[in-house]
Amino acid sequence: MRYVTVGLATVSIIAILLLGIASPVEAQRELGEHWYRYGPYLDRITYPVMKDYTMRLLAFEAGELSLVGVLPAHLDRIRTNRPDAHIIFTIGINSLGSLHFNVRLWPVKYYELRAALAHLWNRDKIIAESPLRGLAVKCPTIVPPTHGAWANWEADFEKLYPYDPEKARRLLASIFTPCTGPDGRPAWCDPREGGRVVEIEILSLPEATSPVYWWIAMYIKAEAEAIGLRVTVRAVSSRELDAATTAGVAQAWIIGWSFGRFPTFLWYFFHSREIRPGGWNEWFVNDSRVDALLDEFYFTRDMTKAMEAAHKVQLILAKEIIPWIPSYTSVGITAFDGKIDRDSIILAYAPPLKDPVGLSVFWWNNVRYKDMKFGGTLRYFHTVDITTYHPATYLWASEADAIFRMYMATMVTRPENIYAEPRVPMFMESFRIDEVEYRGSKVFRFTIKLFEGIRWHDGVEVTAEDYVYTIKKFGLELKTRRYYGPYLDHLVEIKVVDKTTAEVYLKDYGWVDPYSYTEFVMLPKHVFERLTNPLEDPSTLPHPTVPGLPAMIGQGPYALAKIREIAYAELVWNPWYFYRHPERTVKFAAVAVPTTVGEGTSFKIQVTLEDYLGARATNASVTVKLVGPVTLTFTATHIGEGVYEATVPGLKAGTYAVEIYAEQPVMKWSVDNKYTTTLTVTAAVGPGVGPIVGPVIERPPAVVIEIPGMPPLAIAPPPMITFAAPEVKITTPAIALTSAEAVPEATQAVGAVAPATLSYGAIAISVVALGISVAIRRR
Amino acid sequence: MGAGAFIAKTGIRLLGTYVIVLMVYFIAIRVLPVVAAGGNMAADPLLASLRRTAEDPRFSLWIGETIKRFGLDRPLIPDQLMMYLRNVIVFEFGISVYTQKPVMNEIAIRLPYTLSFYTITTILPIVLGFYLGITAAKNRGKPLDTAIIQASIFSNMLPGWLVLLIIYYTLAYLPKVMFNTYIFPLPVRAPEIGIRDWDQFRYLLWYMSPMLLAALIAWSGGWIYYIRQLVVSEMGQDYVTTALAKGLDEKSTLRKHVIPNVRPPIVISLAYAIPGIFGGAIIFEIISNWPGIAYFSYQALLNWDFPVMSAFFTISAFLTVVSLFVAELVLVAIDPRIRTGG
Repeated sequence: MRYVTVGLATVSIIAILLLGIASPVEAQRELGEHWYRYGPYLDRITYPVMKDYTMRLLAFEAGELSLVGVLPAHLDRIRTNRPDAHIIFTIGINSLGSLHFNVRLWPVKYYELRAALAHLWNRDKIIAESPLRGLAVKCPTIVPPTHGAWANWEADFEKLYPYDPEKARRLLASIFTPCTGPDGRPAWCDPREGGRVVEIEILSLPEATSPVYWWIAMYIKAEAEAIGLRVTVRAVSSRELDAATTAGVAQAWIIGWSFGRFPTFLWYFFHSREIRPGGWNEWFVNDSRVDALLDEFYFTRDMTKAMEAAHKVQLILAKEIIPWIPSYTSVGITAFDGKIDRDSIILAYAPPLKDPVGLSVFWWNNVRYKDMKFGGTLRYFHTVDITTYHPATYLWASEADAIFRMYMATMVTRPENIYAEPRVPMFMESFRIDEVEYRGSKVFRFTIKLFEGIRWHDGVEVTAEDYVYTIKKFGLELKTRRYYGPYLDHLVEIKVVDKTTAEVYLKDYGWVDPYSYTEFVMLPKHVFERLTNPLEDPSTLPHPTVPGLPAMIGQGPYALAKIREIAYAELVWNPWYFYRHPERTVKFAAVAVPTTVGEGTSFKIQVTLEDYLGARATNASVTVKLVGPVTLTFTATHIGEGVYEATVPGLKAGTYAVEIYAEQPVMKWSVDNKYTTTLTVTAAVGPGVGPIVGPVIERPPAVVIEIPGMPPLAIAPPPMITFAAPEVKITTPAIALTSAEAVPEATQAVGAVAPATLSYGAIAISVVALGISVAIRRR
Repeated sequence: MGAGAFIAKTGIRLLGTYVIVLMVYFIAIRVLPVVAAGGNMAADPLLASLRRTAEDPRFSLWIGETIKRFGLDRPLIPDQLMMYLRNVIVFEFGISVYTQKPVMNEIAIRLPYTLSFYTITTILPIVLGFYLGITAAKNRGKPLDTAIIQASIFSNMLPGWLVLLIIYYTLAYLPKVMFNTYIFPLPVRAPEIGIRDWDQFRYLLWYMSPMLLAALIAWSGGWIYYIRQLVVSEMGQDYVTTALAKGLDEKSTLRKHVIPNVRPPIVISLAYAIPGIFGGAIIFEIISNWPGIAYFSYQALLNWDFPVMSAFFTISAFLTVVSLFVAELVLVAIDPRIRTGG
């Protein structure tokens, strides 16, 4: 099945391939309205290339795959051999098994011939007798019925072209003459072509990979030849089919398309402007009335008017052009490994349709195994050779499956209703449309504001620069298949306003444009602008600046761990995902921080860390920060079994905020967590507290000292220093102090030889000075 | 004629053949379509292929550069012919029209898969065929001979892919679903080729084992039968009768007289089989998810990827010539009649 993301507005439902039925997971609602944003739960997804369908079935039954698409004919077999499997049925927003025509190529350029073939189309028979085994929905309209009100039932092929071989024969007789072929059998000849015998070549994917398509090809061949129309069916690979149709050399072919939630494909497929190198109009429909209606459909701001125009276009296409003969809409059957938590399979719904229309994009985020909170591998597969993982040029649904685990759109649809507003903001904080004056003209300004703190897989922050670069480079300049479209038609200017804000100026906009600009998949500028050829498959290239990473850098829940192999790719979870599950991090299993200590009394802070699987985290780094009358930062030391300890010197009286920050490396990334509490240091009673520089020196983990108004100072005192205050000559550190509050303490620090009157700022300065002087002495 | 002169003569002859074959290929694929179109350069399949590719925006960046770099805008003869011959000598085939990557890179990443599979499956059946063929010949007319012949005929009738499917079903799938164990693995993830560590190497061997077993079962039959017939035929020669009459036992007769005489045709057959390594086995590759060259070449053919097609043709021709040359050298070494010019 070919896969279309026609128009960026439809990017968000890229996962409408595998289908299912389920209700959302109640258990996660504590994470907020869009609880399903948080994840992922799995550790990795594997993608071996498995072209052979039978081998995929065997592999699933043997537990080597976590899910598999199943043909209706094999449903019983799967139920028998994998009784534990979750079998999920969905209705796709797609039009499959259709016979397509290049309407400018002989002999299918004749409308009568195409209409004759339409009269030979028995959808009930196709659905009942083909390997579909009755499991499909009849699709008699160009816009499939699953698009709801967008489908025009006046353009119903079942009514316009009911199954009628005799009518088909009469249509052929109206343009061709009966003749005898070179083989002596009856045929039709074209008098306009010097009596040439009419023979149609139909391309189809082979039976081994696409048994339904092949069955349909054989069906129409038999039906056509019964009325003397010659048909040759040629099995071709997916690559050849794509090459032949885009180059305009294929007469007729059988294929299916999956669509986005709005039928914007009408514009892309049938507008004459798309008859261009790299364009979508493979049917070579070139009709000024169609163009005008499609422009009306696409550029009006009123969706009702858009729907009316879409209906009119469908009528012309069905009655006068017949670019394809629609067949069926699939009932997808997917078998999932029974070990997967059924409730974690998030499906997408399109009310009023009761059945789900596919898997939600969030299912990847949420899918998990029953017996584990986090972790595990989802064993998926590619059904075709990988042509490219490039998000701007990929071809197949199978490739999209992997690509859009790594790249997430700025905004996506809600699983419970893909048409509902508001949609789910992923990386887009806000979006606004204003009518403004720009360079002397009235224009519309789209302001896109991204969230702050989103990171690409290589750690670089996602900014508005990436948004603007992607449109300019892959839309305007390179006109790539996935980024070039009519949403750019009215573009006047696009610019970065600040780190997270971009502005798009449009002369005018239609109802689709707000979707196009908000459901946008950004690509990392800092990576692609460094590639020699920005259209080369980034999954096969090393990262231009970060060793060990591939150039395939996204911001989605999964990342490509290493350059993909020729027939295998492996994605791992992205610990830096903006919506990482809050529990999937290093955790504070125990924290020992006193609530109250006496002024000047040294004490210890101890934390016990666990990783997200519950095991003791022994490879973390822990930093303790005390913010109060003074600010101090310490690095805790791992003392074994995931326990980290920091010794805090005596503190000045006051209330301190204690922030314990833990960071644990995970693969090439890290996860972190923060614990905050309050500490009260009570004033000392009786004699003053003696100098308490000792503990700091004995245990010198303090690497950063922050004094209000001063830049943080890093010090590294040499270990095991025997400190004898009177013998140390403390020099005044050359520190520029600007804070009025800090100055008095610093001034005291200069005279810090009088220990009883030392302030803690002075202690800090003393430590710095000590470090400096010791370092000088060592030299 | 001395051995040196023989080798030199053979080398020159094969080199000449190689150049002629390449020229014929160039004329057939590039020149004839243009001639048939009345000299219209637009009919050049390579240019047509590039034009089709240019419609894909992925390739728009380098089409002009490719035409210039490979002189595709110059006359086919002699300019492009000379350039082609010069390039193929250094194995410079340009860039794949479809993948936009250097052809040799594309071949290089697949070659280890093809070599590792096909080299073994070319040699193993010959070794098995040699042993069983001679065993059958030694037991001519006996039940063992009959059994070996029947088995070899059966083997020859079996399609390799069918054997492979049966192996996967009976020795991988069934043991797994019935006893939760594998005898052989199901082909899910093709291993990386190389010996990085023992586990990886073990997985490589394990993954390949069904393919090797299938090839051994399906492809040995022909060799067994062929070698048996050679030996039987040779054993009917007068010199064998003489040797046996002189009291030499059958085993020694075989070893000293018969086997040396059946080696040359086997070597020649092997020489012709080796270029097939490059072609690989497409159905095996699809079923076993084995990313070898065969499927890639098939795709190149379907996509009119002329640089890749040229590479396959040229390398196949080159391998044929080289293996024939090596075979001639081996024959010089093992066949006394050639040494003496007989």
